[in-house]
Amino acid sequence: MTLKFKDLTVKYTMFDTLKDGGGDININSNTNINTNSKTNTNNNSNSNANTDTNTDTNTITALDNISLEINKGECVAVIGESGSGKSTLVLASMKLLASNALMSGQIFLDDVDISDMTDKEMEQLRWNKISIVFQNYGDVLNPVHRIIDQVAEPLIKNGESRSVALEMSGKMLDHLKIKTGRDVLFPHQISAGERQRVLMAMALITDPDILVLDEPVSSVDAITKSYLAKVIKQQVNAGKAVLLITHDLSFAHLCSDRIAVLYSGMILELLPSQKLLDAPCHPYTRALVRSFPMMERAKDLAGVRGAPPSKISGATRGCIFQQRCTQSIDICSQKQPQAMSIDGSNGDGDGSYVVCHRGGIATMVCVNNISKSYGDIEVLKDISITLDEGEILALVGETGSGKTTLAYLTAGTIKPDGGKIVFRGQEVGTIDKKEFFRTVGIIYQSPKDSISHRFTVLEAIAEPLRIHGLFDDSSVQRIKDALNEVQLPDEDYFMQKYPHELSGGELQRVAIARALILEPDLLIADESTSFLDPSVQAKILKLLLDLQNNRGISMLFVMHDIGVARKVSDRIAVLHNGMIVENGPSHRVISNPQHFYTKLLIDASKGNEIE
Amino acid sequence: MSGTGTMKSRKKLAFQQLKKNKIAIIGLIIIISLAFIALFAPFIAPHDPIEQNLDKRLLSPSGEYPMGTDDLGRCLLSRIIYGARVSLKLGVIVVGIITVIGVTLGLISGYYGGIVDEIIMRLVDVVLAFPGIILALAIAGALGPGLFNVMLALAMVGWTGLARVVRGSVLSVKQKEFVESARALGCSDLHIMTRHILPNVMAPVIVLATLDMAFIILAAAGLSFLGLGAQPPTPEWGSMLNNGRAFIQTAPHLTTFPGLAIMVAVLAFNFLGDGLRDILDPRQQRELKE
Repeated sequence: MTLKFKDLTVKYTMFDTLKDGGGDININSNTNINTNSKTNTNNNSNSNANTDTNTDTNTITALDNISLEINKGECVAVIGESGSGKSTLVLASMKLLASNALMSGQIFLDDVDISDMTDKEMEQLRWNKISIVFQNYGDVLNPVHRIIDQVAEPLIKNGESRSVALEMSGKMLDHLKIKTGRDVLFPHQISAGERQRVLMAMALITDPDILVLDEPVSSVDAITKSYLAKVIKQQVNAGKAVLLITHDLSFAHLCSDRIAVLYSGMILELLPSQKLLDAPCHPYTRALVRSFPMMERAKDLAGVRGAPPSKISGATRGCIFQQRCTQSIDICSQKQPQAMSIDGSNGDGDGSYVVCHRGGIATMVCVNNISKSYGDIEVLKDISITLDEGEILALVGETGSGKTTLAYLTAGTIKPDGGKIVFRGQEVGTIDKKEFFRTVGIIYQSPKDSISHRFTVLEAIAEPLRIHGLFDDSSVQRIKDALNEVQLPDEDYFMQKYPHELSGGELQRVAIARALILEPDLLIADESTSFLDPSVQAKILKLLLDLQNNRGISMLFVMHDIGVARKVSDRIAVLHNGMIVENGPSHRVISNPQHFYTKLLIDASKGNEIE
Repeated sequence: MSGTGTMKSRKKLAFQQLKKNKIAIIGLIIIISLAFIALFAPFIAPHDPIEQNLDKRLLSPSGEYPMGTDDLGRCLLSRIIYGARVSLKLGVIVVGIITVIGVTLGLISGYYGGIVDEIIMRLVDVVLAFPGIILALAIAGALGPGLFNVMLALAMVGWTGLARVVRGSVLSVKQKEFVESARALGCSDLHIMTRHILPNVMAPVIVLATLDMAFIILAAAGLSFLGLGAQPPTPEWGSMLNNGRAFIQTAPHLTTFPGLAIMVAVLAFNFLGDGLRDILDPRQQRELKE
């Protein structure tokens, strides 16, 4: 059996919202209401009243035009932040939406459209054809019934005799590793992990064709999680269609075949699961991946910048992710993007697609077959590398490997001998020099050398503004803000200090403030922390990462320490003798280095002896 | 606080630093005194500087003539006082011109390099191929006698050394990261040259310019001696020194006093120049403060 959503839109009227006390809470509170009543719903008779012409501001859009198909023998995961509409999707799949929900669009079980079905008709399908594992809240199970009875309940409801039902229930609990003897306990007597397995048992007991799992692992330990993944896989292999709702990316990656990324009620991207962690297409998916703690990743966690948009219907024009996006352009705030398949044509919802005006994460810098020599010394040989919008790339290699040359070539301060560098679709040499330098900021290795010793802090930070003719009455305040942003005092005495009166860490912060005052889109940091002691280095790196995350800029870190690179970058490119010998996601490069030189760098970084 | 506020306080700070730099203060006092003397020469000078008194030729310093008299019986002190007018004006103007020319060409040559550098440096080679005084002589000769023409001639040959030195300094400064950084911010070449490079090449310029001052005064004297500069009987330190050479055995005061005058003026400019260099460099400033 397949489960298919077609143009599904769910809105909640504000009346209930106000009563419940908030938009996001509203959705969850609905979940509670329904989970408490478990299988029966008496109050969703209005779901058929599909009067979805309502774009008034008194409704909240929970789901917007969702089209998704979960085939037999397939698991599709839906991931997203809290409040993205995941739980509404779960409830809609079984028509368990609250009374204030207005639903439009269709939901198919195989070819049967269930969106027009009455409650009575739905009763026949619920728990027979489709069942749900509800989110594991403390009160999700009825506290006055034994768990074995609660698991047996759907069977009894379907006409099974109590004794057979209890026997089957016992077996199912046994299958889900609830120890014999514990199945007669009450919900409050079992652990959260066990409770989760009980919920799973309840869903599986009627052997439905379609399984909807709502955050099945949100409160369980890693061991239980891995066991549940096994159970889910078994169900998929048995030919069931599984809709997995989760915010656990690694679990989604582990269990599912495809992943839909839900944001503020819209699917922004549908992609094969194996691509999720290494090659997400949508900036939001990448931000989610960055936010998620994963064992093999060493990079510091960074949340998705900003806050989700208003859910009041019609509040957002253009792309809903635009305000938090790292690569938005003019059109993004004007027009809603259409789904595009990854190869660039219009997607039909079946294959993987991304909903983005720019066709997913765009390439900011594309270095094509660059070579550079200083006299007879060939520094770079036929280098090709790309840097995406909002990405942090670390160029790693020993001194003299050509890292800085490559960074300066990218920054346009030196010219290549061969090949070309394309910045946002334009060759660097052809872009208006002043305009280009406004979008690229550089932090140099030594702040002592990179800031003229004849400038005060104020003058040093003001210089970029003056050069670009942007210095005006408000600039001093802007400079003060910039100083605050890099955690330096903004008092007059400090702004009148000269570089030699500041410590290395302070001066590097001034250099960062100077590089960021023009709000560049690309920041190049050339060994910017190698002069600093570990404590100051940590502070500066953290500061840079925070700024990167807040501003959504792309960064190119040039560093010789691969150990530091793995903490800060999304991707590592290893340079050796003027060539890129390895280039991949940081965790992949670190955990499974392919080139001997990368291995050497990692070994050296660990403090091992190098032969 | 505003940008201008900072500038004001910086000037104030610079003045405070200057006050602490005794040598620079001495230089400044001497220069002010010389300027004062030049300005009020008619009131200060005890005698008429061009009035000859053949009865009192080659007198040694005495109460009436504190610096003695020259071969035509003119009061040496009065001539030196009046000479400050000509010599200082000549020195300051010519040094000003050669500094502007030398620094500008040196900056352009060093900063742009390549063909521009080649052209300017070959021009320097051509000028340097002739002994400076001979070339100045030729130019002044072609232009005709007169103080203005001498200044022009000296300016035309004097800038080369400065251009060379500035070019060398620029070559080193332009490799510095802060210049790279300014370029990466989208600075215009003019901004980089004036705001970033020029202040860092001023130290040798100031030293050279003050030394040139002496050379110019003496060279002007040489040209005057040949009848191309200040025409007799105009009192001028260089020509006074030259005149006195013939009597160095019998009346050494004729060379000593003009020589001393030149030395004092040059030293004063040198002292002030050194002080200014220190004050204009924020790093030196703080050291002085401590």
